[in-house]
Amino acid sequence: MSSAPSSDRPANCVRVAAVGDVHIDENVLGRFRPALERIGEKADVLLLAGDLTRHGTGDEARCVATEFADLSVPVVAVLGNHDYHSDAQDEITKILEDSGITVLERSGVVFDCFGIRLGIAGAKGFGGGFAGRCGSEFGEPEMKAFIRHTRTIAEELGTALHDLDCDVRIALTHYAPTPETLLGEPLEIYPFLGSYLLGEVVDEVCPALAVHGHAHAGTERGVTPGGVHVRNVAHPVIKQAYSVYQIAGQPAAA
Amino acid sequence: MKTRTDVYKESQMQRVLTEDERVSEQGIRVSRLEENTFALSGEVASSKRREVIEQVVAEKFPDLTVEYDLGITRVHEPDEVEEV
Ligand SMILES: [Fe+2]
Ligand SMILES: [Fe+2]
Repeated sequence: MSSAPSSDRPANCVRVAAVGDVHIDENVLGRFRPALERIGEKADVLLLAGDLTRHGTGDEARCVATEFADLSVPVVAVLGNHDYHSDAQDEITKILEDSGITVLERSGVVFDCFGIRLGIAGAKGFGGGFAGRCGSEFGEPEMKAFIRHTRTIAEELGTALHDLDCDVRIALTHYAPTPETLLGEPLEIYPFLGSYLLGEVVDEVCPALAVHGHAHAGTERGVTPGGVHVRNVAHPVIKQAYSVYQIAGQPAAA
Repeated sequence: MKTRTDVYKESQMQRVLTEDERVSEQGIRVSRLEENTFALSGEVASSKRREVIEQVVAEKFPDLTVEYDLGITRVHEPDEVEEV
């Protein structure tokens, strides 16, 4: 999408709004909307970092669509673990896509933001832990399946990130690619909050930003071991309707 | 040896908060203050959610004293833009 920039919009940058873990159900419906009506003045795109619903039902997904669709900017989402709870993730994806929200799962999308091509690759991700304190594909089938799930997602996210044909890249996940943005969470649960495998594929491509949620008691800012800026945008972490990140970018020479 | 009468209650409470379909909250911290007295802290998405949590915990753990420090996450527009 591309429209005339507002007069005070800074040049040669993209402005990315993001929030995760909105956990919408009928009791939350309407709370975010007032802060979203003028989002086009503040941002070029809105990212939703998973846990859009409480129980992962189609009804809750319709509440998410009511709350976050038809904004003045494109909305791009990944699902989170709550969105899988009722085994209705495919139905949820369909409801959101039908409302105009782009749902990524090991896939990517590119938007034209005033001449700069902004590429976003996204996936739910999964856990497993971080350097020196991580699970392995070893032992019981359940343990192998746990880590294999993370590895497969990470590999396919890496491919999606790599394949984006764009000027500015962003990685969007629900689970964390670095432990730095988990600060505040109990150390004992880090393996359930993210995986170094996600960080590893992010570092191979070095996007301008990696955005995640899931860690409600974590910290907003961190970096991957490879130096990629990471932002935990879980709603209880950012404590506002969304955060806005401005990323410098140059349109590719024609 | 005198044993605590409330062993495992923190874990049970944590699981009720997550697994009871009326709650389904993973972001709430349970801490033990003293024998049979616990605190729940964190942020939830609506006042209705806070009410439900208090009701479910009272129903499942009628013998425990529970102190609540549950805020409702604010949803105002951001004032600042961070350059990254
Ligand atoms: Fe969440
Ligand atoms: Fe989550």
